[in-house]
Amino acid sequence: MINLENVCYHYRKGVPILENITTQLQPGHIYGLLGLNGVGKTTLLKNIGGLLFPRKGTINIDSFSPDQRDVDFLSDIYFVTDQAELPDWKIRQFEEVYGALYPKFDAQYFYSLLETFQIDARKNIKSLSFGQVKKVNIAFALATNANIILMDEPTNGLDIPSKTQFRKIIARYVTEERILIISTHQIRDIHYLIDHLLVLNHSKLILDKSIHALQDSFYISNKPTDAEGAIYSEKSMHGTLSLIENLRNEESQFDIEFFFNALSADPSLVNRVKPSKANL
Amino acid sequence: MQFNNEKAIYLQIGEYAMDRILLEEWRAEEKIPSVRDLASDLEVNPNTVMRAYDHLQQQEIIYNKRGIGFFASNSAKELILKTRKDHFLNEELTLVFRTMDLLDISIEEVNTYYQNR
Amino acid sequence: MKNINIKRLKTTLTEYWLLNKSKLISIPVVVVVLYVLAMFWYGTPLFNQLLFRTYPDSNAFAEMLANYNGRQNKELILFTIPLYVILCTIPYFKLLTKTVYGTMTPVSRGERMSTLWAGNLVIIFGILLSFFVIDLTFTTIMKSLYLDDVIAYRESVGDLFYTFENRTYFATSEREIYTVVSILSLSFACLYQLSTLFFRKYSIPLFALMLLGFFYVAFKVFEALYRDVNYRFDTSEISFHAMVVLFSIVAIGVVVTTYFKLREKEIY
Repeated sequence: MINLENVCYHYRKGVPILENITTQLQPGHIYGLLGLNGVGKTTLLKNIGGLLFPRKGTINIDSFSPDQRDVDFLSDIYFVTDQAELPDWKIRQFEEVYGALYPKFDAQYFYSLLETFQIDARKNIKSLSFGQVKKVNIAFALATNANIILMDEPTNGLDIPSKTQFRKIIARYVTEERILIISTHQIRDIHYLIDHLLVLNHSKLILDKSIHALQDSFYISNKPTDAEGAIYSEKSMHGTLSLIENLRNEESQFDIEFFFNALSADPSLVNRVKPSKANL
Repeated sequence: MQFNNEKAIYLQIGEYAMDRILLEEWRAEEKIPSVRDLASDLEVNPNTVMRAYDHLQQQEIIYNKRGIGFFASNSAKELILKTRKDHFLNEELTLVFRTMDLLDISIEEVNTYYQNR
Repeated sequence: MKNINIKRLKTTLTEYWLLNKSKLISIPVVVVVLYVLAMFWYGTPLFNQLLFRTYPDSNAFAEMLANYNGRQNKELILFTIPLYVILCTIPYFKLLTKTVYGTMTPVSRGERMSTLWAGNLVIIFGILLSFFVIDLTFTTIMKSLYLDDVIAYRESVGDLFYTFENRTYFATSEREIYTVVSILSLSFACLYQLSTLFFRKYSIPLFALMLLGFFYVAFKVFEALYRDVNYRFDTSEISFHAMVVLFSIVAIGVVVTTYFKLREKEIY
């Protein structure tokens, strides 16, 4: 379990990036970390990974404090960066050198993922394109079988077939012991994989709810008659989408991007979430 | 799979499973894809597939053999046909009748189209 | 330093090696090339002989060899030690303090420090050893080729007990050079590596300052060594040992601090 308590972070004094972030993240879920560009998604992930140290507050992950960078802690976590920087070695060399450090590493799985991503394992990392290096990094991350995988904009730079492969692979990765936290602003890329939303807005965590809880509280309707009196609505050439309160206890499909737009337009929306269902 | 933006995903997955059973791609008393396999195929969160399977289990369309997996039940096909039939008669027909009233179409007119289909 | 696991240590060593492979391999080559260049430097007798045949007969050559004791300061080659230490440390520290994967790799500080120091020792003693070998080789070749001629020449001018002197082409560098350079190099490595980690801002000017102090001491020592050909460290043996002890204490302190500093960098 990942436990954040009143975590605050700033790069320069007076410009807070994270303010009093408190949340508990449970294994068995894929968390979607959303927010506008520059809001602090990467900063939050880096704090969780121990790359940055909270200026105030604490982070506790299964009795480890990430900023201590214990070897045992690091053996069970992997951070997939947006800008993938890997050493200029042969892929095979990279796998041999670093794979050995992760106790649950599965080399066969690594190479099968490379095949799925259509990357020639004999190549040198130096010769790969940006997207390909990312894919190698993602393949390696999953092959570590780490319990915590942090991903910062993983689909950024991937071609469309790769995004599909990515989704299939991620869907398979989740188990009861593992947590995935994926930050993105390309919500549509991983839409149906997310089962819990974390939304950052102006340095605060304004939303920390499971999709299930959100579906209980809100209904997204495409009936044009619902647009009037809706909490939020959007017109597009496909019709009108409206966010209304879920009074009939029906569940609609939950368009996360639409909901995020609604939330950005009116953050106080959060107060309408029914407290009933526990955060799965 | 393309999800429409109407029903909740888990319900749509349920429909997908029911389609497979009706088409006999998933046969009675045979093992159906595991939660993770289906999640991967459909590119959705396994928890969502789990919800779908729970829902189907409640309707007794599938059942779980501990340690082995999920199986389509013997009477799955009949149950699905019955549910869909009920839904058609009670919900979709109501909509059709409403439209008929709105457009002033008589049942005889409809019958003509039906006979000539 | 708990937590030194052989498997992980192998990884960090491989990492360091792959980063600095070409530099480390170049050490013996560079040392030999520099040595040869020094011996045949522009304006020296050997250079003149090679290009202009200044000494037309073996007697004249022998005379030169016997009398010439202004051979180049070949020991200056040893200044490649700090150069190599810097060149090999920079990419390694960049890995540790500027990359995500370098920070998130599950290895302990102990393994990283051990690797760093394995590298330092390979550089320092690699260069010293290469220097020693080429020095010995060169002087041995010179001796086997020309020593008899020189002895014969000296006898002809009345010197029956010729033994070559310190700064001729026959003499290898003094033993003390190796001890002194080792100590200075180790201190340099300690100070350099700590200061690049420690000083977040102004690390270059502050290190330059430390380096100036270091060089001041180094030159003073060199000066003492070469002021008088017969100068020996024996007479100040106590102060020499004191110096060693002092340096050791400083070195250990510095290394330990570096160890703790290794984990304190944020990766932006």
